[in-house]
Amino acid sequence: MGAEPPVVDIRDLEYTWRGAAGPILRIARLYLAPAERMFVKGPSGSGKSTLLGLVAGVNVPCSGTVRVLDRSLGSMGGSTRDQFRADHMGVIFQQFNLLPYLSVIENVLLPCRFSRRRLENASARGDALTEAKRLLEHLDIGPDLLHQRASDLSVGQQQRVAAARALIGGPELVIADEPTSSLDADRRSAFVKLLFRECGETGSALMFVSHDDALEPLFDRSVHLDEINEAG
Amino acid sequence: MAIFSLAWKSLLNRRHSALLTLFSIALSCTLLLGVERIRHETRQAFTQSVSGTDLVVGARSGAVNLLLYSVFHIGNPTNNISWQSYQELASHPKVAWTIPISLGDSHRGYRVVGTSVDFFTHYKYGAKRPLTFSDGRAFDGVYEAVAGSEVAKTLGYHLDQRIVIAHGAGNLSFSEHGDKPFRLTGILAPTGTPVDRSLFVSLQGITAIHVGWQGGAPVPGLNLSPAMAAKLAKEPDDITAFLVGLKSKIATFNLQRHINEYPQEPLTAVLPGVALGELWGMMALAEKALMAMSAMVVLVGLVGMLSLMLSALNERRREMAILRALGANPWQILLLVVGESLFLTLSGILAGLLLLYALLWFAQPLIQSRLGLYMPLNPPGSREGLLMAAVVLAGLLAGLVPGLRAYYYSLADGMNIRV
Repeated sequence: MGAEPPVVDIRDLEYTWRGAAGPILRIARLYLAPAERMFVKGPSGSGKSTLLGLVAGVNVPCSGTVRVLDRSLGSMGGSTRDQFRADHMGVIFQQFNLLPYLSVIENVLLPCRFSRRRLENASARGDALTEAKRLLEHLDIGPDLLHQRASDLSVGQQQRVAAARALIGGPELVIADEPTSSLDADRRSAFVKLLFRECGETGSALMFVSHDDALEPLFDRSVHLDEINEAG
Repeated sequence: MAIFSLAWKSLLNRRHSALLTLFSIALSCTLLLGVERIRHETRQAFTQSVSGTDLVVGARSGAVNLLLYSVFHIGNPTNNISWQSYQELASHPKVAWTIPISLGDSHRGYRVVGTSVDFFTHYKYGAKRPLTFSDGRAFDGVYEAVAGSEVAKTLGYHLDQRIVIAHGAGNLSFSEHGDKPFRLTGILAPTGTPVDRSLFVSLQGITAIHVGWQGGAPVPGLNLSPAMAAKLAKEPDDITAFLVGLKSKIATFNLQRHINEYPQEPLTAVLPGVALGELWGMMALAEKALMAMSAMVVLVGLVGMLSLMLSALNERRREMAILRALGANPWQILLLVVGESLFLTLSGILAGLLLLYALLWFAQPLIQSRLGLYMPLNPPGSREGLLMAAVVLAGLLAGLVPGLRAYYYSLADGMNIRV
């Protein structure tokens, strides 16, 4: 950690799903430095998705704090948190990332519709459309695919388009929830490398959740959720 | 706003089912508004047809029946009034004017009304508007006739047209007064009342063509020339009914009682407004039933929309999670769904309204000739506006069901994509 505050800083977090007997997560400390690439490993059901939901501010911790970019998510109002997420975070899901009724390019430009900040960032070197095309090209999505409906793409292509969407407008944090699990083994590391390269270019920190050990060595740091989670 | 263009594109993606829903809402709205339109226009037509008339007098019968056959030419008179009674009542000191009406003959499906020239001066319709001639003048001679606007238009009649009157009302008549033709001297301007569909002749004319008839048929071997018949026809024995205008409205009930208790003959005098009120009372039940049925049809249309949206919602949970991850808040998700239902309802109503006007435009001549009901293409009235607002409200409520569900899904699911 340098002089800059961490992108994510979790302290004394505890989270219990409504109606559940005990907490699913209890984490004393977890942080992510700017531009750091962290691998979060855990078997399914270990609370990975819950953790991501808390970092993204979709859920709020029952106790403890989740600070993102030095701001406490729990003390924000609901819509402020949603706007904060739109401004500062990009999310990549396991699959079905794209809105099927939009074209590839429209999907990539979506964050610019929800966030003025992302739009301004994306337009810094010209306009957002050019930036979207540039990102897609870097992620091996050719210009011939730009106006195709997202649902017509292969799964691998869809994941790369999702990565472009997460990265457009240079959010400080990219959250990836098992983005490679629907890809072939030989395509997984290629995807991760592409993601690294683009995160490096935009300076985004990456929080990558997966249970795929093979990818672990590629990251700056690796955290095993079962080890830091004191619950359950 | 981003969410609305997304909602629109999402709906376009499901356009086939959306169009079907829209169509069913449109059809149900056409039905609902059409029923209301017919109800309103019927009342309007009835109310417009007679104004400025204080009493309608005929042989003893029900008020509604008397009004229907004397003014609207619906149904048949029960009995006639003797000429003598008419004369006596017409010269009553409180009576300002009377219009005698003698029915029973027809011309190519249109009723022939025997009356006096007072008809053209005293009969009022709508907002007390008098009759005007679009061509020619009132009848003067025995064998002269005046046509209502629709009669002249449909049959293509011009002034001096030769007209043969048939005995009996209705389209099919086997005995015609062919030997005593009438000449058209005037054509009335359109009124939107039964006047348009009538042919007017003098009482003497009616009497003249029946001279030498007995029991509704010509006496065999007796052939009178028109001139001869006109000479013989002094005054009729009886008339069907007459309309009364009073010098002062205060005398209305007084005179009504006087006529109802008329010793020489059983008569009935009715106030047109009261008789119309009675008519509405009779029609109210049918109207309510029709309205309730069309309201049910609208409900079915909206339930169709509801089921479409609920079944689409499961598929769309993914979409919602993506939007949440992009920074949409649950309220925007609610808006997305409710906005869709509102859009479907509003455009359904609009399409239904357009369909109604298209139907009216096409069916207008048919309705007028078959039912005698003039359906003007008026803008929606206040009751129609109220009905449309009710449909919008119902659509909004229907949309809130999937909307609130989407809201809670988006809270519960968060960013988790359920497959």
